Amino acid sequence: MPVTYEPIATTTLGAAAANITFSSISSAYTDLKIIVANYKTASGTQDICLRLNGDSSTVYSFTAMRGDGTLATSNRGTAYPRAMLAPGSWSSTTVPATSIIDIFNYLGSTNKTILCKTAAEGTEANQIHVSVNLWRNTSAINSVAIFNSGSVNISAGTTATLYGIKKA
Amino acid sequence: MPATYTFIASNTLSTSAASVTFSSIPSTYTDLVLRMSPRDTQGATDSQCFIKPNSNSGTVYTDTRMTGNGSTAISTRNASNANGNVVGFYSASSATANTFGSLEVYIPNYAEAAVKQIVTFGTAESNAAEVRLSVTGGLFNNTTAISSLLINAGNNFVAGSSFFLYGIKNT
Repeated sequence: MPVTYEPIATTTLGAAAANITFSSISSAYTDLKIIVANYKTASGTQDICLRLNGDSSTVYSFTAMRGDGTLATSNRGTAYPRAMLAPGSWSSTTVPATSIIDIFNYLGSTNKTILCKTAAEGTEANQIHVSVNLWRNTSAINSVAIFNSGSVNISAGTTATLYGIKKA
Repeated sequence: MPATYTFIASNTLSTSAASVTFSSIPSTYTDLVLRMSPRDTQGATDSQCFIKPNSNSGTVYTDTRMTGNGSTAISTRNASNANGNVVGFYSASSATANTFGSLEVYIPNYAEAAVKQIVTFGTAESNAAEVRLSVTGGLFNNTTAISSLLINAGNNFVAGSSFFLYGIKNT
């Protein structure tokens, strides 16, 4: 049976940093998966975001759905300069929000979709969030950057692991 | 590059059972993934199952969930309780014959001495009038490393229900 799911890189921040970036991503896989455990920032109101190949042009769009235990709501954004994964304000300084991110066919010559599920249970807001993002760019993906909106540093202790998935 | 998505154990039921347990889970992985395809004997279109790490029966479980049924979406929350973290909906005896639910449970950092997030995603789609899809963020508010998983059925899992446990390493 061939190996189809491999760790590519992992980062745990020892100190707050502007971003976590996985660069020079191998082209040996079919899909990418990223697991992020994100701690709340000092100011606490930033979205946790993602950027592909360093592209900050307004070619990202998203549709999201969230539940807070009382209401389920959905929102949408277009022409964004980044993919929106989840509101970072959900996490806390002691219990991280967990995001499970899937990027399909990252080497393909079509636009790329990003699926993200984020659980922030046991944190200050207790919410669940699901989003789908589109990156309107047909380039193969060779780098992924995770960062906070508002140029606020990601908190120390935040971890991110990148995996590659092969079809065979 | 090492392989990381490693099969640990499975259980496909030959007879109905009220629960399934994976015990003696090694601590050599970073995350756990449990993939389930169950059906229940409960007299309804769907049922719900619950997961208890280490069979802990304390009031250490909370979860927040979103559920959609094709026409509306709602969100509900279970405050601290001893029932376990809700996994999601899956097909029961009134659902279309031979349909089983599809559920995935992701538990990051299960071997760490910290409280554990449990993320679940699943559906009881069966081409029937009442079907539900849910996403849940759960918290196992206990800092003990997880070495076993108890999955309790809504009533009884039917024969043929299957459960697969995998370990994921980040190195």
